[in-house]
Amino acid sequence: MAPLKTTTDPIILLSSPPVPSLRITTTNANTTISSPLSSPLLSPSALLQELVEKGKATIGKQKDTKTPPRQVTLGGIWSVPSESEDLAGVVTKPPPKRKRTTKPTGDPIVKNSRAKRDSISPTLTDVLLKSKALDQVGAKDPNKPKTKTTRKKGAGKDGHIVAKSSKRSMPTKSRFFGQPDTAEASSKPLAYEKPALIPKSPNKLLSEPPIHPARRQWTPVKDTVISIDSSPITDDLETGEEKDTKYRRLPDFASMVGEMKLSTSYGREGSAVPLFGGLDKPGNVLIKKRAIEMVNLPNSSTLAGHKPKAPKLKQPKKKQKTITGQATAQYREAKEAASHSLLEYFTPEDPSAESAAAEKPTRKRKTASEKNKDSIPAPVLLSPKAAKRQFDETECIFGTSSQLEVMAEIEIVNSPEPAEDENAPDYLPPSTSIVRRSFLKTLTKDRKGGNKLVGTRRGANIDLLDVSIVEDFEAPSHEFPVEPKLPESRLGRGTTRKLWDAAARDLNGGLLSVEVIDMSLGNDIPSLPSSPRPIEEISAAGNPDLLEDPALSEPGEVIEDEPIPNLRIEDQSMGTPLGKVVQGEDIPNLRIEGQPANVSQENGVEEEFIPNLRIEDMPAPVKMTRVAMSDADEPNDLTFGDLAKTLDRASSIIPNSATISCVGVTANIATTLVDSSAATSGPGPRVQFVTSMPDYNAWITTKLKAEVAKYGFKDLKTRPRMISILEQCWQAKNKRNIEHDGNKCMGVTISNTFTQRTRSTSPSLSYHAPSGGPYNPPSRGYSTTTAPGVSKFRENGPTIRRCPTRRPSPIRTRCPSGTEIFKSPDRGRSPTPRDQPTTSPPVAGQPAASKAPRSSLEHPPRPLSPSKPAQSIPLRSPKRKAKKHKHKQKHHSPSSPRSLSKSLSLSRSRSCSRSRSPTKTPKMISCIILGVKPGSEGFKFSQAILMYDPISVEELMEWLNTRGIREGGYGKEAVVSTGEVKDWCISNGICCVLEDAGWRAQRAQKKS
Amino acid sequence: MEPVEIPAFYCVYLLRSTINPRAFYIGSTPDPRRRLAQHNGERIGGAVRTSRPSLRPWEMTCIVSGFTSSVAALQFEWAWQNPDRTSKIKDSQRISKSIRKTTKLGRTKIVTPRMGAKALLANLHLLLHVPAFVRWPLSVRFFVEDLYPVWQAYCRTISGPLKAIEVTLDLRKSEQSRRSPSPPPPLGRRRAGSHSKKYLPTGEGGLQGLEITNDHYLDRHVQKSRDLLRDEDIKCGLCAQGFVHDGGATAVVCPHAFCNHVAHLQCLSRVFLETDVQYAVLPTEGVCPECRKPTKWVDLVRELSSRTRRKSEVVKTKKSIGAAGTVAGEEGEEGEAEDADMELMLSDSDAGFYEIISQISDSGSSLSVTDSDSAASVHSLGSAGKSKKKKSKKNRRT
Repeated sequence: MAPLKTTTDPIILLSSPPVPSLRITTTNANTTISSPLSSPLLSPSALLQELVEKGKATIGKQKDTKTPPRQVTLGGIWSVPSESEDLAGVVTKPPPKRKRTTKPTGDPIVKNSRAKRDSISPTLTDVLLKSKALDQVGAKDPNKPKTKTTRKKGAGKDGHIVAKSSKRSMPTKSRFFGQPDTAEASSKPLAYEKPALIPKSPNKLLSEPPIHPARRQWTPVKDTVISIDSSPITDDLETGEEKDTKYRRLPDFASMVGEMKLSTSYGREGSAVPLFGGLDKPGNVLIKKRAIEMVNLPNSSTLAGHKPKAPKLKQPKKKQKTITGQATAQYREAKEAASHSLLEYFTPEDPSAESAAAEKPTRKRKTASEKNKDSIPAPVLLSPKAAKRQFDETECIFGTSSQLEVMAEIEIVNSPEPAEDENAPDYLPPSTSIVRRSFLKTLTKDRKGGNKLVGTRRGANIDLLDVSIVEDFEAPSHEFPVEPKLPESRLGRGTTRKLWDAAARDLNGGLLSVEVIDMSLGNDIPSLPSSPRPIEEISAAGNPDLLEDPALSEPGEVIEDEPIPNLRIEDQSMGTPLGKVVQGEDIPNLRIEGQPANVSQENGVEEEFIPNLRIEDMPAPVKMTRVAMSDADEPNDLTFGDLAKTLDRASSIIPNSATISCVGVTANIATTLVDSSAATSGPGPRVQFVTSMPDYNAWITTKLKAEVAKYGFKDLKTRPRMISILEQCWQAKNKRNIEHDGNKCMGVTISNTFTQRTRSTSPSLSYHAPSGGPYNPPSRGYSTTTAPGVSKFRENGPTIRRCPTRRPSPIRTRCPSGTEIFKSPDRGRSPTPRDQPTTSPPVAGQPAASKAPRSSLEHPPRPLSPSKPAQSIPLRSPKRKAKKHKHKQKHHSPSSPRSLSKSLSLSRSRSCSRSRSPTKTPKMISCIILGVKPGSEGFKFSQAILMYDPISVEELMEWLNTRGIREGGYGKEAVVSTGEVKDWCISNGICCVLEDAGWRAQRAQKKS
Repeated sequence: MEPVEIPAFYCVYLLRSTINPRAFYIGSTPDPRRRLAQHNGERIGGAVRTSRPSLRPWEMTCIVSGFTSSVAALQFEWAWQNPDRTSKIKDSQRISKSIRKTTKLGRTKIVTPRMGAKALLANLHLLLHVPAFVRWPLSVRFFVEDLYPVWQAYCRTISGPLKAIEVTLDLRKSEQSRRSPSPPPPLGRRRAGSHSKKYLPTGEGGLQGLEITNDHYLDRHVQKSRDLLRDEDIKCGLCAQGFVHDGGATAVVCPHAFCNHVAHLQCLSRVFLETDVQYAVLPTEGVCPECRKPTKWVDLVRELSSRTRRKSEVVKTKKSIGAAGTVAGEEGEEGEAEDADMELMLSDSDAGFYEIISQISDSGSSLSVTDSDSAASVHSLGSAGKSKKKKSKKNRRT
């Protein structure tokens, strides 16, 4: 008895109102409770519990079938009514708690809505109450309320929970019935008393025969309700009760699902009815139902008139109409689907139970019982371990988007394997199990609807999947980054991949790694463009000559500057012997340049280099890559890298900086490099003879356009612009060669290297180079030859490109570290420049280290103008570049001196931007301001600052650019922008005003 | 732009509605008493945003003074009003961040978040430490007792004391001033118009007792320097060069008594900057090379400014008279009398410039008002536009 009581309590909670629920309970109670709660969401954990419970229940059934637990249960149930008698007084006078609870529940509708809103469990209780009410409506017997009260009392005795449930039911009566209840109440206690006298004997309940007819009348209601439990309600109450306990245990899962459906899908009455059916076989149940009906009468007068079937039809509609119904509609579907899936998956019985639930109760019972019997043989359900196992396995299957496909394939493929996994419970290695667990967890979290599970029915398939997955995972788990080979053996390659994909997704959420691994397996190493190694190898293999220099041969961390892919591309494209020819020269140059490139990083224009380099590199032979490697190896790189980083930081803050320091560094480096280069490689720059620049002026406009388009520039409308750009591009391309030529003339290798560097650093070099032979006839062959040089510049290249960029952002990218450099190319890559080799070469000419030894002295005016656009091009996106070009081109026109001067100033600015790091710009300005002499023009600025006068940023900028920087000894090329000046003012607490901004400019215009 | 004498007093103030203490207003003015009267409707020329009777009267809770120019004050005012947008504050340091709202038309509108007292003070604290303003000779003065503790509490939360900025709680102590009456300001410095007399400091403490004109001290200093510079043989104490060529336009004289140290502005600035941060350009304070007393750079500069840039008294009086007339008429007609006294001290060109500035201040101040009255803001902008037009007309006439 005691155990039965304990079991009953939870049942009471579920079907709080009617005593019959108590009867039903015992072991079932647990299941029922869990089911309604879990069923809606069908969370995996809930499923596990259910399975465990089922297993227990099945075991218990087997035992119970032999033992007569029914009587015990009956006795326990009957004991409830006896308790209810005691509580009879309570019914008339509900405790405060009851009142509170009852008030809200007073209206069944309200109850339903609230219950649905809150949770499933409350909905069930409410539904039960409502179902009672329906039953009562169906049978208007006055006795029914009596039975209700008794039941409630009994419930109260059982436990607090019961009392609560009874409380809820009570208020409903009080409200609705009001007077009629009171009238009946007098009779009720009497009737209750009788059962109370013989509370524990089930016979008493049976003794109430009049109820049965009423029940029969209600049967249709039951039918509509479809409750599984209702089946026992049939005439065989006593036997039915005993059996019910058994059956219920077995079909509990199905019943749970069915209940859930009922509770959600059907209105109050519908949900309640099934419970009743299940709960009360005895007459008491009927009586209570009647009482409830009485309560409901006022609410649903129509229902009272109707027979049970009619309300059934209406109910679903009503439910849908209600907000709660609508809200729970999704859950219903999900529940149904989930239930189906679960039933199908775990127990074949369940679906039948569902179908039975849809049908009449009797059928349900039978079906459920039969199926239960059938299901019993299934070992999986019985043992909780097995259930867990299944559960784990099943989870593996499901869920994700590609699962279905995978499943299908897997099924096909898996047919050979499945037995292994299932048969061997321990088959999973620990690592795999862990992986799987985590995986399962994620899956369980992800899926709550359970719809996904539907697809995963087949345990065998699942198992197969698991095995395969596990195996696959083992390798990656140990060596994730490394490429694990997928086991093609069992599943076949395609399937394995898919499996991998699905599994990878599920596991990490970031499957990429796994996928990547697969890719790698499929693809050969060389396919990876980013990896520096392959390139090196390739380069080494391609050019044995390069290996000659030990420094060069060293594997470069330096590669930083140039994106590997570029190198590869170049190698592929170039492969020609030209590269070899050039190699001798290039190597020294490259080495030298590589360092300056680092220096240039300081300057800050380097970002663009990469793209340019790439473009230029296209022709460049493999050697170039190698050279870069060697440059990288040099110890100086590290220092430069650090410097560059610091500079970049600074640059982010403020663009311009004093160039001097940078220049000095570069010079030193250059010298050292020169020495090394001289030692390593002979001076012989073998570059092809310098070609002269084509006379673009003589070209047809269309041809010019085509040529411009080759370089990837936006269509330029004006002819002079096109010409200027083409010239610049050509110079940029051929500069190196030109320089070489110049160097040859010089006859000193050192000078060559030096010039190259300076080139990168200072514009003077660029000018110098053209001086050698800017107008030499260009030729493809030449360009190709130059290409190697360019490719070498690649390393240097960054320096070249840097020149054009004034912006701090490029500076950031410049960072010597390979990674940063790689980033920069992406940026700098602005689409057009890449494709166009022209952009990159001009860079070389751009550099403008103010201190570059040769610097401007020798430069012919022309080269200057071309250098500008080239510089500007690489850094910015094509559109911007084009704009800039246009902007600059305006100034460019090479012929006019003014344009030259402007171009010079521009080049200065570029060079300045290169040479000076952003952080140094403010310092430079500060130094200039502090060093202003009293009589000079800039003295007014100094005085204004000291006098707290607001200064005009434009005026100060103009003065700095025209005279201040030069007078301050920071070189002619340095240029500051308004933004830099403004930032400097702000950072130094100087009150400054931008006169061009806003209304001031307008006002000035008006005045003028 | 033409250099202008450093104003004797220019402050950025924070108004708070006594009716709705959550309503604040940030503005700037060289005469806070007069400006407060304008805001409270006692005098024509108050800002529209403060014209709502439901918010009046306003009280001036605190002022940030020491601005060396109206432009500087306006910049600070705008920065305080728009701490989320000002370039004076780095993004990483911003306390208030702008809110982006999309209008019905789909346009994104950047809105400055409403700032309560705490946020306002936090931003004030931040601004006072920002490089853009940290070197300015600013001081903070609280006139309200309840706001000062908030400030202190906030300062406690931030490491480090408030550097080089004087923060005082100046409560009203008495209605009668015990101090000796300050000597009458020189004729040129006297503010024209009868209305200016209304707002002379009265009593002791508080805004009403705030002394905004230290003319007598400045005049003494100016007189001292003039006397010293009359001597043609006097030379810079640092570079030993004379001041003949510039007539002493770049000579600064130690303000301390019994110290006749004279030096070039640049020379002395270098000395001061030696002890300052590297690459600093604007000194804040230093030690007089001769008397070894700490000296504020602003005192030296202010004297130099008043000595070299002050308009001749005759010219000023003439202009002041004329300007007073125009201003008076304007006030009577249009109510645009804000900071009229400031206008009196400016030349024509400066007056125009100042007009614009005042307009900016008006328009900018409208943004700072915390009370949400879009209509009011619109009106304020509209009025500002009108005032611009009117003033431009006026300038044309002149």
